[in-house]
Parts: sequence; C-alpha cells; structure tokens
Amino acid sequence: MPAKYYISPIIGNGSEDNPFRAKISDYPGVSCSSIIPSKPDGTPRFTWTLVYVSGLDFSALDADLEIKDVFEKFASGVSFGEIQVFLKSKTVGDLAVTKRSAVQTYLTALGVDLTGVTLSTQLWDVVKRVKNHLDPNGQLDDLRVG
Amino acid sequence: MSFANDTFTGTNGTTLQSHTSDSGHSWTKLTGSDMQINNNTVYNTTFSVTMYYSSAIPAGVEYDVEATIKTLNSSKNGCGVGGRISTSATTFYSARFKSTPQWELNKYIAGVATLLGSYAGDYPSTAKVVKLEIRDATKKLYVDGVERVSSVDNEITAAGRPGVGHGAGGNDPWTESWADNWSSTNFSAGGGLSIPVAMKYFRGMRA
Repeated sequence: MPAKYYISPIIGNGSEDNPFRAKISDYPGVSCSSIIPSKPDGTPRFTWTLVYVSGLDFSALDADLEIKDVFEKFASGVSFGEIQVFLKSKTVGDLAVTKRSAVQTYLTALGVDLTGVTLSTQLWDVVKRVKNHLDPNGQLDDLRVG
Repeated sequence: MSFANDTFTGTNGTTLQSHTSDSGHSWTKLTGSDMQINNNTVYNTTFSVTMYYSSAIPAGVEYDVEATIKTLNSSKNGCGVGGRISTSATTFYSARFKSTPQWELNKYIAGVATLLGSYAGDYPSTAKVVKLEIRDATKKLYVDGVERVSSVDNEITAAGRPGVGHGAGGNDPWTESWADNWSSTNFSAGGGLSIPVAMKYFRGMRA
C-alpha cells in the first residue's frame, strides 16, 4: 500500500476517548505510526510528530494545511521497502530548489538540526534527523505500519 | 513457552480479580471497571479504560503478551493486552481494537493516553489473535501473526507486568466483546535451538 512520511500536529487531551495522537490518525482509511515522546506527566514533549502513513488516498492529508508532506510530495512508495529505497537513492540535490527551500525552512523552524546537510545528503538521512530530534531511541526502519 | 496463561475458564460473573489463571497466577485491577468471566472468556463491564496485571513476573523487560479477541462488529471497542504495566501507576503499553475502528498501539503514562500507531483493517468480527511484542528497540502490534504497527517508543522501561484490559462491547450486551486464551512469553535474544533439537544436532556431529 502507498506510504509517505508526514509531519503532523499532535491533538487530543490524553483521555481514553481523546488520546494525544497525530492529527493524521483521525483521517479514515489510513494507518500510521508516529513518534510522540512524553514528559513525566504523560503529556507530549513536542507539539508535532513525524508520522509514517500508509493508505490508498493521501488527498485529504495533502489538503490539510496543518499537515506537511516531509518532502513536498516528492517522495512516496507502494511499500515501506520501496519508499526506503527511494529515499536512499535520492539526495537533497534531487529536490527542486523551491521544494528544497520549503523543506529547509519548516524543518529548521521545528528545531531539526540540519548542520552538515548538503546537496549530496540522502533524503533518508534527513528523515532520520527528524526522527532523532524527536526520539533518538530505535531505528527509523522500525517506524512503520502494514 | 509462556510463563503465564489463562483461558478464563470459570463461573460466569466471577470478577477477574477473584479468578486464578491457568498458570496459577492472580489478577489485580490497576485501573477501570471490573472485568468478568462469561462463557469461559473475559469481558469489560463498562466503557472505562481498564487494565489488569498478572502476578506473573517476566524474566526481563522484553516479552510478548497475546490474547484472542472478538467484537461483534467494527463499531465495538475490543479488549486488548498490556505490557510493562506498572503496579503503582496507570502506566503501560497496550495493543487493542477500538471502535474508531482501528487497531491501536497505545502508551499510558500516569493515566495519560497516547496513540502511537494505528492500523485500519482486519476487524475482529471473527476471533483474532492480538499480540503486543515488547522490545527495548520497538513495540509492535500483531494481528493473527502479521505485524501491523511498529513503534520506536521506549519511555516505559521497567519490566512491569503483562496484563489484559480495555474493551467494552458497546451498547448491550457487554459480552459482545471479549478476550480469551491470554498468555505471556519471555523473549530470548539468543533464540537458537531448543534442547531436543540441539541434542540431535550434536549427536549427529559426533556420529
């Protein structure tokens, strides 16, 4: 099933019926896994999350101005394996200048450290930086649904 | 080989805290409403978030918890299983079916719920086995042996206990949503050969 990486706001209040969650998870027909580290009191440490999303139709997500496709619709795959291969085969330099600039602007605004990222940096490594900013535990490969 | 298991065989109406598991362990209600035995399954008597933990203590922090669950239809909340359950705070990981409808991998810290991942599919209108696989590197939700959600979260680090909970059938009767065949199994990082297979292997080498 087609898959993408998104950045989504976290919504909810932490109750059983309204848990803290990626806004994306409220869209019907999509499966997702997100990184939501918590403070000691259980509330989220960040207001946003990196989300791996699998679904047949992303148009509703793409129309939501609060949700960002990490690579501005440049990258997707029909499976986790395919998107992984794609992101490892492409570099920052493969992004159109306008998309590259947009990605850099919003990732920097989120506090993601892009020091050392060059045109030859793999897009996979950029997603890893987003993941590691939120939670250094585990591997990006293990953030998935299927 | 599981270190704790329960088929919830007992008299209808027995609360889970009054029931002894097949492996001889007791159940303690951490939070929520009573779960009760019904037709040799267990169900939640209200909608409230509920989690019970077993008196069985896992060998380490990495283990699996699974159960067979069923809900009458996808609009019913399902039962689920928990792991790394604190005995003193409403803190645990859980895997369950929710009437959203979707399978959910959750984290509860101090009673605050976070949805880590969800899978829309495989609705348990027929009985399905849900497994929560707990490793330091990942927490995974399986449905009938197929990995559906994987998370890298590891904020609850203590071994805690395995358990069962969640669920409530919807309107009436509550017994439309139940769990059965619960078990918990230690994870052995080494894996490897079982003793009988290893003996056969070494005998073969000697011959």
